[in-house]
Amino acid sequence: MKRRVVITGLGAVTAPGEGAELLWKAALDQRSGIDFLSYDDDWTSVGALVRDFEPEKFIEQKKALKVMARDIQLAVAGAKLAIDDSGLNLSKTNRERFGTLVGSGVLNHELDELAYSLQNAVGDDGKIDLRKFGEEGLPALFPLWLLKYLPNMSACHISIFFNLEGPNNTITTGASASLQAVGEAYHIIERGSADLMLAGGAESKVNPVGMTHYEILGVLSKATGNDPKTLYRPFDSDAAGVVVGEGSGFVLLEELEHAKKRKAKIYAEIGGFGSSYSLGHKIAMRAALDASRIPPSGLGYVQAAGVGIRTEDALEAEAIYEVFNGCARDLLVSASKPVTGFTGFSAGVLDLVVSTLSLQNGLIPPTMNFKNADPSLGFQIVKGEPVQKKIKSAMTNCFGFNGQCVSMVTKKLES
Amino acid sequence: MDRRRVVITGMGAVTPIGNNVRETWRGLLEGRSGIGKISIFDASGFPTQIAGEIKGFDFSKWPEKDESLCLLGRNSHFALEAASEAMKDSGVENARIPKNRIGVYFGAGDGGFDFSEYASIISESLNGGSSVKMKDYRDKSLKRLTPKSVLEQEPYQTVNHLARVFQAQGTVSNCLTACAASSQAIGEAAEIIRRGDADVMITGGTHSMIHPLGVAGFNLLTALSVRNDDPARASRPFDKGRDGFVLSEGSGVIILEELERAKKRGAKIYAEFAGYGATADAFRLTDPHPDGKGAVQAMRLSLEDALVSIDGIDYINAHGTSTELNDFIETSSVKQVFKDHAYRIPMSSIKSMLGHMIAAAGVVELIASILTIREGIIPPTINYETPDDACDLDYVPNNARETRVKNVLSNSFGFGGQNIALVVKKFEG
Repeated sequence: MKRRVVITGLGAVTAPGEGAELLWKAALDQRSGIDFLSYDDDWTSVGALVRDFEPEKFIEQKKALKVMARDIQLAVAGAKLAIDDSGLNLSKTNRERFGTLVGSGVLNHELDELAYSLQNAVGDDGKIDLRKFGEEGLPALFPLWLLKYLPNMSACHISIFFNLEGPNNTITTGASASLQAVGEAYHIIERGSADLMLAGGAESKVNPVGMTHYEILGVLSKATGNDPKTLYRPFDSDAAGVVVGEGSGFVLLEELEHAKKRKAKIYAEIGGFGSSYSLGHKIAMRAALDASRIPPSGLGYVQAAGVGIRTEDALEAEAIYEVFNGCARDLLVSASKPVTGFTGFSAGVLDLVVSTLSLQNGLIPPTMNFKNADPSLGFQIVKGEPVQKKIKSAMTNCFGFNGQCVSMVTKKLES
Repeated sequence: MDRRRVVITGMGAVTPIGNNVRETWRGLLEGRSGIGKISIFDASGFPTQIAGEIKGFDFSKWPEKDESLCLLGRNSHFALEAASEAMKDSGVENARIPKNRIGVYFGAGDGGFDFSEYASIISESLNGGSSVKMKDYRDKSLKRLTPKSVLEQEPYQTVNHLARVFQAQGTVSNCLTACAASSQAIGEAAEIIRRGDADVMITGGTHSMIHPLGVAGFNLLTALSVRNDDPARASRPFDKGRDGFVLSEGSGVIILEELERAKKRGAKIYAEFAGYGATADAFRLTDPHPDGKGAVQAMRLSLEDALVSIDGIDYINAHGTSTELNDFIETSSVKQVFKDHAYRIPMSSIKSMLGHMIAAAGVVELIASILTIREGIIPPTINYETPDDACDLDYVPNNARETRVKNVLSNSFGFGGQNIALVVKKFEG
C-alpha cells in the first residue's frame, strides 16, 4: 500500500507579517503588504517588504548571519516557523529520516559589497580591468562571499540548524521552485526515503538588482494610482503586471502514520502533484488531478497562480476552463498574490499555505483588487468577501515567467 | 507488485577532453588531461589561472538552428549538444513515445552570466565612496541589458530549452546542489520513472563557473589548486601533493528509460540504473563531516536500493576532487562501508583528467562508470605520484586497467553537505 503524506506544519514570513496565521488573515481581509519603496532619493518603486523582519530572532549565531543573503535568512525563519507550528519534538525525532527541499535560484548580490572590490578593479581607461580585479579586487571581498549567494545554501543552513540528515535538495525552477520542492518532497516520503520533509522556499524579490531585472523583463505593473495596494490585479480586465514582494514559506510534510503516532495536528493530505514544461499548464493540472483520483467535478476550489500579467493569466484561465471542462462554472477560483506581492521562489508554497488554511476553515479568500472579469473567463473568481464553502479538496497552481508549470491537489484527511 | 526498472539507453557528453562521449572516453583511457591556462577571460591576476575549458566548440550551431536560442549561456550550449548526442544515440525521438511521458530533470548551474558588463555597470554607478548609487545602477542596466540576456542567466532556462527542442512535456525540473547536482538529478529522474510519472527522462547536468566571480569565489575559499605552472598535473586526487580542485566546465546527459518500453522498441541498453542514496551532512557550509557520516549513509542507502552487498561492487568511481579533506574523508568513508573489501575494490577519480565540472561532474562520472561496465576497462587516476598515508586504497594509478566489472558505485558530494551515491549494474535481462 502507498504511504500517505500529510501537512502538519505551516510557516510563512511575508509582508503582512510573521506566521501563516497572519498571511491567512491578511488574505481574508484583503490587507496587502504592498507599499511604496525607495532605493535612493530619486528612485521609488512599489513592492511588498517584510519591514520588521528580525533575522536575529531566528538565527542566534552572528557569524552565520553574516554569510546569509536576506533570501537565506528568510528561508531559515520560514522553516523554523513551520517546525514550531507542527509541535514536533526535534530531540525525539530520527533526523536521518528527516530532510529538506528548498526552492531557490540566483540570489541577488548586495551591490555595496562588490562596490569596494570593483572600485579597485577599474583600469586607466575607466573600464573594468580583470587583471586588476584578480590582484586587488578579489582580496577585498570577504573570504566566504561566494557562500552568501549559492542557491543551495538555504537548504544547507536549514539542515545544519535543525540537524536534518535526510535527503537534501535545492530546486531551481524559477517561479515554480517552492511548489516543485513540496511536490518532490512529497514523493520522497511516499517512496519511503524519509518520514519528514521540510519543504518550501524563500526569495527577496525587492532587492534592487532583482527589481531592475524585472523592470528589464517588462513585467512590472504599469498601473497608475495613488494607492500602491491597488496596482496588482490578477485576472482583472485591468491587470497590468506584477508587483514584487519578498517572503518565505515552508510546510512540514509527514508520513501519515508517523503524524498519527505523535498525535500531530493534521492540516491536509497531499492528493497529487503534477509538473510539466513552461507551457504545460493543462498537463500539470491533469497530472495532479489524476494522481489524486479526484474527478474534475469533485474539486471545488483552485488557488490560482494569478501572476497578474494579462497573457499569463489568460493561459492559466484557459487551462482551468479546459481541465474542468463542463464543471468550471461551479468552481471557485482565487488568487492571493496582491496580498504578498509576487515573491518569486516562495510564491507557490505561500499559495499552498493559503489553500491549506482555506481547506481547513472552509473559507475561501477573495482575490484582492479584482473588479471586472476578463470576458474570456469561464469560471468564477472569488471577489469582495470570503466565501464560506465546505470544500474537501483544493488545487494550487504555480505557473509563470517562463518557469516550469506545477500543480498540487490537497484534500481534507478522511479518517 | 514489482517496481518498474530503469535502464540507460543513450549518452552524450561535452567535456574538456572531448566534445562527445567517444572522444571523452578515449581520452579517459589514455589518461589525457583537459586542464590548461584559462583563456575565456584574463585570469592573469588571479591566484588560480588554470581550468578545464571546452575546446573547439561551435557556439553558432544552436542559434543558427533556432532564433530563440540566441544569447545562450555556455551551460545551455553544452547541454543542448550533449542532449542531442544522447537523444540520437538512444533513438527515442523516433519511438513515438507520447510527449507528456518524456521529462527533463537536470542539474544545471550558471553559464549565462556576463561579469564584465555587470561589473562595469556597478563600477560606473559608484557614489564617490564605495557604495553604489542604485538609481544609476538601474538606469544603466535598463539601457544596456536586454530581457533575453537577463532571462538566460536563470538556471531554469537550460531545461526550458531542452524541453522545447526535444519536445519533452512531462515533468521538468532542475536542481542545483553544487557538486552533487547532476547525480541527484539522475537519482530523482530514475525515481520519476520508477513511480510511473514518466517513461523517458532526459537527465544530467551542465555548468560553467569559469567566470571571474566563480574563480574569485572559490579562490577566496582557498578551494582551488594554484599549480599554475603545471596545469595538466594540477588535479591529483588522492596524491599527497594535492592542493585543491581544478575548476572545469561542460555537460553530460543520459537517457533513462523504463525497461519494458526500451525492450519493446529494441533499444540498445547500456546498463541498468540500480541504486540511489541521498543524505545531508548537516554539519558545515564547506567542510565535509569529519566522520563522513552522511557519505557513509548515502553509499549504504544506494547499495540497499540496488540490492548489492558490499562484496558485489567491482569499481567505485570516486568523487575524488583533489582537495585535502574530500579525498581523505571519502577514503575513510569507503572503508567504513566496505570494510576489508575496500582494499580490493579499484576506485579512481576521473577528475584527475577532467577537473571538476561542478554540477555536471556526477553525470559524466556515471557515463564513465557505464562504459567501464560495457568495455571492461577502468579509467585511471592520473597524476598519482606520491602516496598519502591517509589515502591507502587502490586508486588505479596512472594507467587504465582491464578487468570485468558488473556493478559500479559512483559518489558525488556537494558543497553544503549533499551526499549522493548511485549504483549502476550490467544489464542482464
